[in-house]
Amino acid sequence: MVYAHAFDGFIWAVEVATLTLGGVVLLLAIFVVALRLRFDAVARRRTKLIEQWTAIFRGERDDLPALRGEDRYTVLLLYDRIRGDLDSSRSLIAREHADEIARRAKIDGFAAGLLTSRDDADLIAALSVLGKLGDLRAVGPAARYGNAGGTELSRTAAEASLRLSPDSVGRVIALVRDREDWVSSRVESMLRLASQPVLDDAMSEAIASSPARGRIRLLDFLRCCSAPAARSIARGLVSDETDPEVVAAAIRALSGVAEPSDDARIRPFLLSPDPFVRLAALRIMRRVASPQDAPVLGSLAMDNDSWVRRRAAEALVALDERMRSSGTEETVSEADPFARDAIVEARATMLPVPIS
Amino acid sequence: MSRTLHYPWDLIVFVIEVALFSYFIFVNAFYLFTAFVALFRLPDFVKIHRVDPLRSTGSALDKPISIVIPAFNEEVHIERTVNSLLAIEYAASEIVVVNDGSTDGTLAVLTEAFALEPFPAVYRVAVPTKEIHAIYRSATHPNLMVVDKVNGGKGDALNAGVNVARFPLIFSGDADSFYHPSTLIWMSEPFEKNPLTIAVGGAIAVGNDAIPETPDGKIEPQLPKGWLPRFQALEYLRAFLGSRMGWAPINGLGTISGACGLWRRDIIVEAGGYRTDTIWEDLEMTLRAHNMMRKQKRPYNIAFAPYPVCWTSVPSTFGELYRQRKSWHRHLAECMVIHRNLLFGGGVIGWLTMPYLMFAEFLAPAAVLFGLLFAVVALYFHFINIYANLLLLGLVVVLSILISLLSILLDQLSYRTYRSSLWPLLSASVLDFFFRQFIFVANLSGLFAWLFRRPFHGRKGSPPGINVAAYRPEPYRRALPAASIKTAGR
Repeated sequence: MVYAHAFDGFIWAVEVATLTLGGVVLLLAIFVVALRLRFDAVARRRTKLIEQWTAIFRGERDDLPALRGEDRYTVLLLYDRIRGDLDSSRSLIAREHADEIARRAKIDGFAAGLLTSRDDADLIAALSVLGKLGDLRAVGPAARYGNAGGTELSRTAAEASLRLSPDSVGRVIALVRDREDWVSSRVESMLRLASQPVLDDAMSEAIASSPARGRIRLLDFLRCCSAPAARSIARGLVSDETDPEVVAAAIRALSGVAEPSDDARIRPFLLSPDPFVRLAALRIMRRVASPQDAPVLGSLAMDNDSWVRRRAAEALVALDERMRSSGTEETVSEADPFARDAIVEARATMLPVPIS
Repeated sequence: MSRTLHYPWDLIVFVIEVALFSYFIFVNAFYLFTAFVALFRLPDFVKIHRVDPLRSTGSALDKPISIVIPAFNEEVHIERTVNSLLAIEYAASEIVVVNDGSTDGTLAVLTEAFALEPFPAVYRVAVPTKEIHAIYRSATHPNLMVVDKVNGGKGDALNAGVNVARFPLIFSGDADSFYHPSTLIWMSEPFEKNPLTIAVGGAIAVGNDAIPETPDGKIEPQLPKGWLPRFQALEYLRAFLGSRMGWAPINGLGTISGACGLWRRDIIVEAGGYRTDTIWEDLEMTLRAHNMMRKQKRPYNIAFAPYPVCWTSVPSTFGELYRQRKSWHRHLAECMVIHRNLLFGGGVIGWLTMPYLMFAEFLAPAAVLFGLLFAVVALYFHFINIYANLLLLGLVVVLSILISLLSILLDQLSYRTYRSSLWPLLSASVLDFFFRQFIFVANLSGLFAWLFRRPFHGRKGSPPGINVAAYRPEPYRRALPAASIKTAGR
């Protein structure tokens, strides 16, 4: 009988739960439908707005319609996107026109208002736009959020700092070194905004004062510096650094800007005990190797590390191409058919494919 | 109770009732838990990426990715799939299509469409595979390679692709799916943000009526017209937004889907490659990665990118769907046995994911069957009344609709995967309960097939990738990596 009473209690609980959940389901269904209807209306309005304002920002229309309160965020994001695309173009006039329109539409004031928001997305939008407009109201928040926010907020804040105050380059580079969560390609785009001489000096200073891990991280972005500065920094590390991982990173950084005279500097690293150093050295030798390097490249084509073999084969083929010769196979032992195959593959990979 | 029972029967019946109800609460608690975690995380994620969109910058600093596509008898879809992959915007990627001993014109279609020519590739056999006949490279797209090999199943084809792949990240996809141009940009982001990331899963949408017919067409994000694919569209929303988006933030993701997963190559190789002695390979690979990293006490992260980047064709007939789900459940059963040591073995995977997979997925058909039998017996002998049964059924239906609605809400708050009217999806969520009973039957059949080791007959047009003529499970063995260097055709 005890269980019968318990069962009755259980049934009562299930009744209550079913009815309550039924009500929740009904309300949720109504909410989802209402949300979808609202989103549809917003999407229709947004599509029109984007069409209209894209033409205005691009100078295809002269009128400047009044902007309703709820439309300002959409136009702010549109300006941010268009202005971001213009960053990579060289058209100063187009950039200035877009900025002028944004100011006349009071986008700057709206963005400045968002700086007090506690929402990361609002802060990102505000900092990004104010940075592009060169609005100094963002200087303080940009410095504050540079190292304190989440991944996207801190990176946007750093980018705004770079745009607003050229003397912040050193601080931003220190952040780049420490914030490994920033997406590298985005950091590269950001650093390209900095003035080159300032960036060259700041990068040189930061690399000199950073620990090994930081140096490796920063060496990835040496490509944003001018070629002479990048060459000088990388050569310095190749000569003086003792940590093999830093040396490998420095050789990789040097590979993009290496000159034929670098072959003597790099040659000893072909015999390094660390495969990643040999691999890095081969990247440069592919561009600068001379006929005297052929024997060592031949021996590396039979290396224990498969990637070293592959890169050595490519360096041999590149050497053949440069010297207009075809003797690479001779440097590779008869006993290692796979090394010869690697050369055949490298030749097929590197030389233009005939389109049949 | 309509009939009074005496000790000990009243106690036995009561215990069974409480056990069944507790199980029901346990299962739905998991669904609701992940849905609510997703509800807290997804809108913020979407908002941040709306103001800070990920776009291709063509930077040489993007991590290079090898896309590996196993293909078996895919002459109908392969050209369209490869075209969608070639349209992916990413600085450094290569595509490796592995023709896994197709008996139709898959290789001929590829040769014709992409001007394939023999290529003397040298590769390292990091994971043993069936013999490779030849490797081809496209004369028109130098980053497209085709590996022609002896049929060995999807896992074996993926392993061959892993061997030939040159880049440190491997994207595994399906030959009958269509990929968004930003797939790699979006999916590689977690690797950049967190160096502990070893794998990233992407969201998959049902594309039966969205995948373009022509190779150069664009996705029309429409809901499928048929009811069966529509139910699956809803199911995919539940699985990806309502479930995986909830598991990922706590590093408890149990599956990286084989149709859309990005892996660190060294992890796949270190784990011994994809298994070739299980029906499917994705769930097993994911659990093996968890298992390996936990055993070695290495910190790691398995992430999820909620963007709908992969559009796939789902079964449109009951027969195809039945076979697919039966094979999925068999694979789940295989994985539960292989990785049983993970259960209660610590961490989120041991204390949450594995119990969920074991009790809420693997044993669910058995529990439901027991519950149904109990209800029938109880009704026959009047232990409990019809009202109580109907009431419990009502609660199950209401909870099922609630979870479906939460998934639809998540989709509306994020990417609105399907741009067509919402009504078909809403009505599907009401009727979904009955669809789930069909899935239950298929799962139960898969459970029995696994228990009695019935041979599995793969069939073209049913689950993609099952291409071994008759699969009969053997004692489980682990493929050991035996690194050697090979040349195509040697």
